[in-house]
Amino acid sequence: MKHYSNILSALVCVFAVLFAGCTSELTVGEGELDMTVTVGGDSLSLPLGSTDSITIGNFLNIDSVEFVYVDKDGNIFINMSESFEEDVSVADYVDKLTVDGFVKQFEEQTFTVPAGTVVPDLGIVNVDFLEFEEEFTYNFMFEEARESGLLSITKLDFEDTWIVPEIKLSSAMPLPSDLKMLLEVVLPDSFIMGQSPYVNGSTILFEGNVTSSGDVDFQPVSIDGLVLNIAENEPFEIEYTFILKGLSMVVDMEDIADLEGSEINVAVGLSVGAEDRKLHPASFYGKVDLALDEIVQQIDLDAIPDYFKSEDVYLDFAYPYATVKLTSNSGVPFVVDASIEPYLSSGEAVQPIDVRLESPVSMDADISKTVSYWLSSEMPSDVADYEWIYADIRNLLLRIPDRLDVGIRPYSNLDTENDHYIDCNATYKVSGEMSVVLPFAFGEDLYIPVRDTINNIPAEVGTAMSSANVSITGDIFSTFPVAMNISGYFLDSNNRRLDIEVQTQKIQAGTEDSPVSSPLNIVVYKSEQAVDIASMVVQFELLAGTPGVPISENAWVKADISVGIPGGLTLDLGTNNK
Amino acid sequence: MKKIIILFVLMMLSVSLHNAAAQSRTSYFVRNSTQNHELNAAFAPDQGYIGFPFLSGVNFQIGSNLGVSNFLFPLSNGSTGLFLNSEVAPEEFLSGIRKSNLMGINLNYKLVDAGWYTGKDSFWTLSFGIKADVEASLPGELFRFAKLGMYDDPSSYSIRDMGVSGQVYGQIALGYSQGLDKWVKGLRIGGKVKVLASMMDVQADVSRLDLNMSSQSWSVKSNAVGHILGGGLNPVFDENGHVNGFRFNPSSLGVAGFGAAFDLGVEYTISEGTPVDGMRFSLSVTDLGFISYGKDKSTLLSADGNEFVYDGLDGIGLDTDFNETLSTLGDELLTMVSFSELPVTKEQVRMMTATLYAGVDYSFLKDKMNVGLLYSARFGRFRTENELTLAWNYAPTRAFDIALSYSLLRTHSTIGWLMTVTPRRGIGIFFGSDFTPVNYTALKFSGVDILEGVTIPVPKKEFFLDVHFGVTISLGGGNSRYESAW
Repeated sequence: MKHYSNILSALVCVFAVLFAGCTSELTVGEGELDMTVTVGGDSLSLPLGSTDSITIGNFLNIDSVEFVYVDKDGNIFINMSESFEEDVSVADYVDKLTVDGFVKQFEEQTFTVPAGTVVPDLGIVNVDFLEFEEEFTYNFMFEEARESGLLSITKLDFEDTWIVPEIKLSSAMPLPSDLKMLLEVVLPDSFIMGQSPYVNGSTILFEGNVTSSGDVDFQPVSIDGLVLNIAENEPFEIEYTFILKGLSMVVDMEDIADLEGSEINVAVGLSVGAEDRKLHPASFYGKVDLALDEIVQQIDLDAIPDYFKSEDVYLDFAYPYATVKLTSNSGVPFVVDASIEPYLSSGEAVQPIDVRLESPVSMDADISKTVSYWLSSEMPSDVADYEWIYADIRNLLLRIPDRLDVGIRPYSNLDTENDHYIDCNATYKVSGEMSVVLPFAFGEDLYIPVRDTINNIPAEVGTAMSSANVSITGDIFSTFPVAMNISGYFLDSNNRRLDIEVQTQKIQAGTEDSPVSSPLNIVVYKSEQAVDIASMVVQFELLAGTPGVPISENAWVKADISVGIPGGLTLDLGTNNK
Repeated sequence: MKKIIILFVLMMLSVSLHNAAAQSRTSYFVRNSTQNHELNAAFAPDQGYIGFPFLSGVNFQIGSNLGVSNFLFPLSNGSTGLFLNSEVAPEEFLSGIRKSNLMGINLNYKLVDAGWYTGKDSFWTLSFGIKADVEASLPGELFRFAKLGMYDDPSSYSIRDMGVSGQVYGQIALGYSQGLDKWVKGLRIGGKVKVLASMMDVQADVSRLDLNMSSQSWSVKSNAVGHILGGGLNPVFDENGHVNGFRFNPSSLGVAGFGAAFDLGVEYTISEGTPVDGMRFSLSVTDLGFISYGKDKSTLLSADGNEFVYDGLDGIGLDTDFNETLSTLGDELLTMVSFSELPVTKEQVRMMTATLYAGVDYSFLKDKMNVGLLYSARFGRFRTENELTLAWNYAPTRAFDIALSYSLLRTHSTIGWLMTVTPRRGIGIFFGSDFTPVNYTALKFSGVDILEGVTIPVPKKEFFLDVHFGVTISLGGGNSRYESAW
């Protein structure tokens, strides 16, 4: 028993020592243990690093959007282009102006061969049949050509069109083998004859050998054209009178004795036209009323980023302009009425621009000619090779529309002093290319907010911002010729905007050769909503610059950034989102 | 419950190694102990024994010279806050942080243990067990950095002598103790040979880490060495050859190194009929040895003192993946203090952590009570730890012994206790702790289901959990030390 008492005493001593030293009490547990910690220090700041040199192209996503381009000098511009090409069909005129020729056979006449006039040097005798003279009236019309737009015609050129007389001799006496016949054909003055030794003014003296069958072999003479001079509103009806006279015979002196006094039958005819007995038009001068199909093009500008089209965007481009190039191989001058009308889905009306342009004229269908027009609000100082036309482009595009409606209506110019020239066998084309160009040289009223979204913001950022003000400090270097504001806002995972204030920071404008440094000091104030941050919309606002100073791809902005959390980062280790 | 887990983790983080030997110093002067031959190979109990299978002996320590009061502070609203709470002033927190702060976990688990007498006062021991040690040395400057962070622009820290190590190995120990009364009365010597098989030995020793932080750049200059010996843990390198992580590779686990160690001990008890008869002097050294690892099982790491400057990432843009950026940023910051691999040209030999014990005790009341003074010096990887332990033992019966100890010299003072039941024959048990802090803080739980209303005393200035426990089966006496007392 004594032993047990000793043991008990020893145990009491041990445990008394063990727990005699409780000197304080700390309560832990739900609501009692504060698990918040503040780490990082009063001046916590982490150098985040340097951004890329961000060019205007990066801001505007030039590589991924249509309509925005960089020229060879690095200058950026928006180019909205549309082109057209139309065939000008003149095939109708071939049909409508092809008229019937004729073959006129006169009544056969019998002549007693008179004594001729001897030409001793040549050993021949000329025998004239003075009583022979025939007259013939020929008419035609091509009124149907009016339906194809022919208004007037001054001159009509033919191809494969000939005139040739026909004579057949017969007699009881055998005809000498070397007998020749001559016949004069007097044409109207309107006829334009081809080169021939038989032609003398409006008279053609045909000469041909008499064959054994009695037919005379005449060489046809080409008819190159007709001078018509039919004015507008005059009928396309033509009447011409042909006179055949001067029928004579050339006989060798030794043969005249057998012929003289004998009777000879002469049948005379006249043929005009091609082998098909038609007069084939090749071209003509006059006035034609041609209206090509109207072209209505819609330039859909969906691909242009929204930040160019938002209602809060106000563009003030210093030198917006449009260029139009018209190309034609036609001898018909065309007028091109062009209209440009922006369409805004907001319903806002914008006064369209209408311009009247004239196409070039080419007298050779194988050679196309081009004329270029420069459309702008002010006459440019140097646009060689362009013809300037006033058009108020600047006020037309204060905002980038959702769509550009371009109307092109080409038609022949009837107001010209000179006749149109139509090559009936040609294929005429009239084409054009219109470009509306907005060089990025902003004016003094410019305001473009460019927004881009940074997705997948790390949860740690939200945690930090929910516990402390976060400052983004550093330096921004800019060669942009316009000032910018940087700001932004935060979205939750459902893309709802969070009510977290983000200060706006202005970046001074620089010049291309000397970047300007602006201190960066953006404070994002602590917010409980920050834990819901899923993405951030960064907004760059391009502000007004010096009018006319271009913004080129070579302009850049770069930032050295540090992220500071003055006072440190406070975290609650007891919450589930940590 | 989550807060409790976090709290527990904090407490674990604050633990440190106090006795890597993981043996009860309090048992050193217990004269019938079946365990103190681990401290002095000359010691032998009165009778042979066999350890109860799998419960032969469990020695587990976690501890730190930092306590709960270093990390938990009462707040103005009555709640308890962590040391990083903004309400806790830096001076208040840092005043409790030492220049050098040690943390660690030790486990010594004996699967098999037996001791028996043969011949004339010859005592043999045989044991098979597993040991695991994790140590860390965290300088106060590190905590200053944690608390103050970037206190100004710029801010600088110079962190010295920071390290962490871990080792897992098994050992088979055969000991022999022999009384030499026939030559010198009261003299006893002993020795123990240990065959060691190591699974892993990792260590990182940062001798210097200079941190400079400003809004323009953060820089680190570090001098450090490290090694990974054994399998199971493979370093992962970044493109610059810096370690940026570790990958656990269970397929490569296994015995990676072999070695041997020796314990030597001697005791001498005065029994010459003088007034100081019963006074015993003892001296021992344990774990004199090494473990050798093959080249193919060795990875050597070094940070060569080059300065690494982080001044931000390049090429940040609107399309930057900031989650990836944050990850990269983390990697870069880790790389700032990371190691590079060194070529391994020969097998790696690591010395064991030896411990020297020198004690003197005096028994009286017919050996029923004794008091002793023990000096120990543990030659650790990061420092040598000296300790002085005063012990009092009382054995009212032969089969029962109770011991109290008081340790000092180190950064703290602790009280230890041990109760031993060792019958001549039959089942015996021992349990106790070397470290029983004097000052406690009572942690009172509220709003926690299973701990509602429970108050747990935890060391106020240092945190310890030190457990020694085992069950033995006594085989009968071979020594008659107490015959005269009972």
